[in-house]
Amino acid sequence: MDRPGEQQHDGYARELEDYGQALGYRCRRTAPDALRWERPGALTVAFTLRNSFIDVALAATPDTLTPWGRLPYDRLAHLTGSAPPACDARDTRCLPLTVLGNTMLCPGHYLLRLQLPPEPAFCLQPGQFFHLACDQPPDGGVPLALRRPFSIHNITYTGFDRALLARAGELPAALRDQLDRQPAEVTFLYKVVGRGTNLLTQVRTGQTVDAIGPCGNGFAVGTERHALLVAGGIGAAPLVALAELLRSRNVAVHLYLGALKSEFLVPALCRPDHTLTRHPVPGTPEFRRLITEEFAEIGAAAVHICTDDGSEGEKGFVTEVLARHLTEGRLPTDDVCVYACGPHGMLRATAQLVGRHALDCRVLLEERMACGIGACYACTCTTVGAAGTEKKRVCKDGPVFDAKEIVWER
Amino acid sequence: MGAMSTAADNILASQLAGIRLASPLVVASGIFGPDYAELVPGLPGVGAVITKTITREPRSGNKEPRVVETRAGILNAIGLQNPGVHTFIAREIPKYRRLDIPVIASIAGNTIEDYRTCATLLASLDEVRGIELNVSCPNVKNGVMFGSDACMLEELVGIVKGCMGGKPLIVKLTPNVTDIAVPARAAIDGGANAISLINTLHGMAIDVKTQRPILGNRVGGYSGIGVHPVAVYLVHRCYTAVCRERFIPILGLGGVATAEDALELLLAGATCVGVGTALFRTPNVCATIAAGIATYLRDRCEESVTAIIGKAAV
Repeated sequence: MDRPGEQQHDGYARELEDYGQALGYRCRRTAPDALRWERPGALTVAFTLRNSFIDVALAATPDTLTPWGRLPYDRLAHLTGSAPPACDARDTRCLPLTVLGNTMLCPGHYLLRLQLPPEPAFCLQPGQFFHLACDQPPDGGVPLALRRPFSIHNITYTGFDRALLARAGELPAALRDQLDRQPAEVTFLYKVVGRGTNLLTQVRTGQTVDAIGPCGNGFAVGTERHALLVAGGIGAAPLVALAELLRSRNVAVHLYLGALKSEFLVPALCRPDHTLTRHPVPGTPEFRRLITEEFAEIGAAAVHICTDDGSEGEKGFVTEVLARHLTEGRLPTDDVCVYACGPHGMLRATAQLVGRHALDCRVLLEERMACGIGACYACTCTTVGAAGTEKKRVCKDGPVFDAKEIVWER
Repeated sequence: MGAMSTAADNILASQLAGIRLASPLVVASGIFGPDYAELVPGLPGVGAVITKTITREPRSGNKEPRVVETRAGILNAIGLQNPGVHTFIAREIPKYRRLDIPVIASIAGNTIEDYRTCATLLASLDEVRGIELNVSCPNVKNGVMFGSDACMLEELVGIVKGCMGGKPLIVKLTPNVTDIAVPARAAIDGGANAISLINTLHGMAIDVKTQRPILGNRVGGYSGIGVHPVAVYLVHRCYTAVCRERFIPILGLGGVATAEDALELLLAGATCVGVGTALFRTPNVCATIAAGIATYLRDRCEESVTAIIGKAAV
């Protein structure tokens, strides 16, 4: 889009005014290239017309504008009708990313924060992963032969206040769904399980990590009104970014977080900026409050925590607790989608459960990978479709699949 | 050699069985497909790419896990998963057009008829400059048989050569034999225009916690830096025993990750060098290797990479 001239700006501003009025807002021009939608009891929406996009900010009070996203000019027309989701580009790149932090949250669990370059902007979807070179071999040293895939744990946007997610319902749906948000930082919450993750813990702030990403298909967020997020252990990590995306679309989020024991619940922490000064000790009331509060802050409907040994929350498998809640009618059954990530057995149990209750379900799978971009066919899973069974690639066709599609018996 | 090629890079100009390459570096089979160019725009340093191995019928491949990292490389047991030659031609071949570098198709089969069908269909395409005959995949039933039985290999190569429409045929040899000169001679007697070696070595990894093999297929093919000295020896063996006197070029590959690794293979007798496993870690590694080879040649006042082929084969 060429830079709009003053006249064009005026035209776009009028369009926004008309649309705002149709939605019951009072529209006020605050500058030649800026206007606001105001309505008592709702968030104020502020638009600033830039060269190639419209900056959209929200104000909970008249003086505190918080950046929310960008509306490209060519999507203005979509505001009045139904339109495809805003972010659908897949642009996998190979580039070094600067480490903003790599800290231990509790023994065996680390949070890696990587800075994203402003240009060209990344388009990231929860459920996608980055294929990272985990080691920093000295000159002439022997690097690890393979990269390791890490799911996106959270995405931060410059200036964005996640607490506004709790009020996403106050925004018109069409506007909500057409905004681009420019990610400034991506975080990965990883558990040390072998050579690669062990070496990754050695990476220091200011160094770079060689990254291929974003890879694969993220969660296709549909038009459901309720989402049940089911996590097992480290599987909670990718559901954190998903929970925020769902909240930005005003979907009611019910979380079911399961783990072997309390320590392994750490991946459910949401904030990307956790530092050692706020080091939560698993198993303490503060730890549980932290997890619950962080999801409550973005407006999650409920957070259920369970551990196999009962050291935190309810004792038992997360799928058992979910099964009971579904049977007891404690959860909505219309307009629901289940999203699950965790160990193979947990995903299989989830798939069987949602099958019995006829719910839609998307699962995020893991497999040993080599290329990460769909070329080598190392990371396959068995799927079943109209044409019979087929081996699909977790890295390229997934890692998110419809649970009905997966053949769970290996 | 894509966007980064300049006149100064003529020093790297090579030829493999009549296919002109801007660089002696070839992307080995099974590593990257046409999407590779999106990850590494312009493919600097790459002279040609070899496709994933294609079979006549679709193959679903082996049980997972299919890959595992070891201390000095990786084991894989993909099992030649591919959509079959007809689907490959319809869906994948068009994507290779964008690459703007020579494409060599790798084929495999259970019967001579399978090979004949694949070779005929693929060699008839403008996009395909040559065929690599994979007679040595360790991960499929009968996969190594053609490669390790000299009589069968000679017959197979002769028949496939007859349906290539004059395009060059490269035969990829397995290292899992007593003397690699025997299948090399058989391939050349059958009419091969070049030979490539080595395919992966038989290998296995066991999870000591579960006391079970890690790979779903139990055994796999070993590749990566650990196999490099084996590749240097076997290239040297083929060059000195057969290829030098028969004027048959060798595409040498096995564990190449640095310019020095590539130079060793060239000096052992390879005309071109394949890069495989190292690309998983470093997709643009060919740029670094090509630059390193060029520097080495200039430092020694060599005018062309072809001048050092087989120099260590004494």
